[in-house]
Amino acid sequence: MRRDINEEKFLKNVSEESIMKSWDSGEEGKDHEFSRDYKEFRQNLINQTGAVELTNAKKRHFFKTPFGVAAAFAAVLVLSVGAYAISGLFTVKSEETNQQQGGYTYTFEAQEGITVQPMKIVPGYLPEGYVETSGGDGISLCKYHTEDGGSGITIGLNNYSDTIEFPFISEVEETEIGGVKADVLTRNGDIEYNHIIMMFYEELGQVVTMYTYKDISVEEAKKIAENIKLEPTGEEAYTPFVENTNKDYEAEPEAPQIVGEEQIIQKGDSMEMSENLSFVVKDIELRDNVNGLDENYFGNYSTDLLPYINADGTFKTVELGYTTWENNEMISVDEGEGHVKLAYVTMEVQNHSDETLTDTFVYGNIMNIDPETKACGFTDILEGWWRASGTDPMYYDGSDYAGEEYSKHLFYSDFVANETREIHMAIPYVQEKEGSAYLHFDSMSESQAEYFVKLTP
Amino acid sequence: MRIYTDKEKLEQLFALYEKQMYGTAFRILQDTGQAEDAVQDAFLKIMPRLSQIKVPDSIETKRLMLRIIRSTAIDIYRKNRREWEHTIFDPEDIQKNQKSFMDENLSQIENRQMIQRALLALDQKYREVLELKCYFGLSHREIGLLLEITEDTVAKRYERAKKIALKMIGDDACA
Repeated sequence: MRRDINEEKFLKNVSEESIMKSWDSGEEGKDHEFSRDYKEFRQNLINQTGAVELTNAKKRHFFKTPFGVAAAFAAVLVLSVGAYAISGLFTVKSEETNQQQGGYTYTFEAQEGITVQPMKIVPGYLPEGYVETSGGDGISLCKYHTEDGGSGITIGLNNYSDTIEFPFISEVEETEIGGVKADVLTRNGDIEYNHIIMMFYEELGQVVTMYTYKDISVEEAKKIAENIKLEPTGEEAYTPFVENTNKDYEAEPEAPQIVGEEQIIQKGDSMEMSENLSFVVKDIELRDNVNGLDENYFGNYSTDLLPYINADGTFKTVELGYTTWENNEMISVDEGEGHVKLAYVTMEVQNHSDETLTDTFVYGNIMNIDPETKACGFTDILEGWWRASGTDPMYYDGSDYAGEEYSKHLFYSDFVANETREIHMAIPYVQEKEGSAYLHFDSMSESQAEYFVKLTP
Repeated sequence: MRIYTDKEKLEQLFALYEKQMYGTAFRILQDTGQAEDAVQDAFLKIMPRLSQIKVPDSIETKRLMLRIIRSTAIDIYRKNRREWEHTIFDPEDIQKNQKSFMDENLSQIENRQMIQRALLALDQKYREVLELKCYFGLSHREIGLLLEITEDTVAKRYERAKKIALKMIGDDACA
C-alpha cells in the first residue's frame, strides 16, 4: 500500500489546512471592496451563464436511491409576460425570451449620463434560524443559511450590466414591495431556489435580486424583501447598467460536445494530459461489488459507502430518471430501476520532467457517448451518495494528501521528477448505461487534453 | 433532490469564495488589481467544469477553489517576477526529506487529526511563513519581501514552525 506522506507533504497539508481555516473564519479578504470592473465581470459572467443555460434544452439525467424523496409536481401555471417600463433613473423591459427553457430577460437602460451612488444591502428581516454566511458587508452577494447549513437566501445588487436573464421561470407577478416596484419570479416543480424577487429602486438606480430556497414561502420571501434597506456606502458614484462589451468571457451558446475519433483511444495508449504528464489505462475491471477494496481509499467508508451497499458487498439498486423543463415547470421523469456497478481502473502515470508536478488538474470520470451523434454528456447525480456526482471516482489510491475528500480526484496527486506510478481508481456507473459509457480524462492545463476510453474489460 | 442551475451554482461560488480567494491571492501578489484579476481568472478556469461541481459549499469544492486560486496567483506572481527581471536565484537547498513520518497503514482520518493538532500549536507568525513557503512555494527571500522581514527572520520562523509542526507527528508516532 502506497502512503507517500513525508515531511514536505505534511507541512504542505498543514499550510493548506491553515488557509482553509482562515477561509472558514471569514477573515480572509473580508475587508476588501471589489472594484467596479470586477463587479461587472462577476455579474456578466453570471448573466451569461444564465443565458447559456437557456440555449441548452438538454435533459438533466440523474439516478436516485429508492429511499429518496419523491418529486413534487406543482400545478402548471402559464407564464405571465408583459414588457413595461418604469420611470426614474432607468427603464426596464422584461420579456419571455425562451419558452423551451422558461427564459425571462430584463433589459435595463439608464438615463444618459447619470451616475448612481454605491449602496449596500441591509436586510431588516430574516426567517428564524437563518444566519449570515457570507457577504456581511452588504456589498458582495449576501448569503444566509439556516444554522444547520441547509437552505439558503441570496441577495445581491444587480445594476452592473444592461441585461439579466433567468432560466426556468414559470410565472411572474408584477407588484410593489415595501413601496418599491418589484417582480416575483416563480419556478415550479423540482427545483431548489424557486422564488426570485427583483426590486427596482428607480430613484436610486439600483436593482436588488433575491433568491430564496424552496422551503421559504413566497409570503416569507416578500417579507424579507420588504425589509431590505439600501444604505449609501459613501464611495464614488458610478454609471449603472453598462453594456457588456467584454467579449473575453462572453459565453457562446453551448452546442453538445461532439467527441472526435482521435479522442477515443484504447487501453494501453498513452494520454498526454499536459506537457510532461501522461496517463495510460492498463486495465479495466467491471465489478458488481466492493469486496476486497481497501476501505481507506473510499474516504469515509462507514458513513458514505456502507448505507448504499448490501451485506454481500453489492450495490443497492437506484431509480433512474432525468429532470427536464416541460409544461412550464421542472419535472422529474422516472426511468425505472438501475443497477450500480464499479469500474475499477488500473493506470500508470508518468512525470516526464525533471521537476515535481503539483496541482495538475486532471479529472477522471465516466461520460456517455451517443453512438450515432457522438455527443457526450454526464449521467450525473447519484442522489444521497456523499460522492454527489456519480461520475467521479469514489475510490482512489494515488492521493498524496490526507483527508477523505482526496480519494476522489486524480488532481490530488503530486509527481516527483521522472516518477512513474501505478494508481487505481474506481468509478460507479449504472449497468443500464454501460453500452455508451467511456472513461473520460480531462485536463484543465493549457493543453486542454481530453481522451475517452471505452468502458470494457 | 438538490438541483442547482449553473447560474445559481456560479452565484453561490462567488458568494461563498470570492473574498477568500481574493485574500489568498493578495497574500502573495500584494496588489489589489492583480489579486482581483487572479480571482477572475480562477472563475474562468472553473466555468468549463461547473457541471462537475455538485455541491458549492462542500469541503471538496472549497478545497478545489483554494487550489485553483493558489495556482492562478502563483502563475501571476511568477510572471511578474519574470517581467520585472528581478529573478532571484534562491540559493537555498530545500531539504527533500523523504523520510516518512507516518506508519504506512495510518488512516487518512488519523493524518487529518495530526494536521489539526499541528495547526493548533502554531502561532500566526509561524503559520504565515509556513503557508508562503510550503503552500505557495516561495523562497525565503520572496517571503521576506512580502512580509517585510529579513531573510534570516523568515528562516528562523520557518525552522521554528517546522519543528513545532513536526513535533506533533513525533508525538503521535510515539503514542
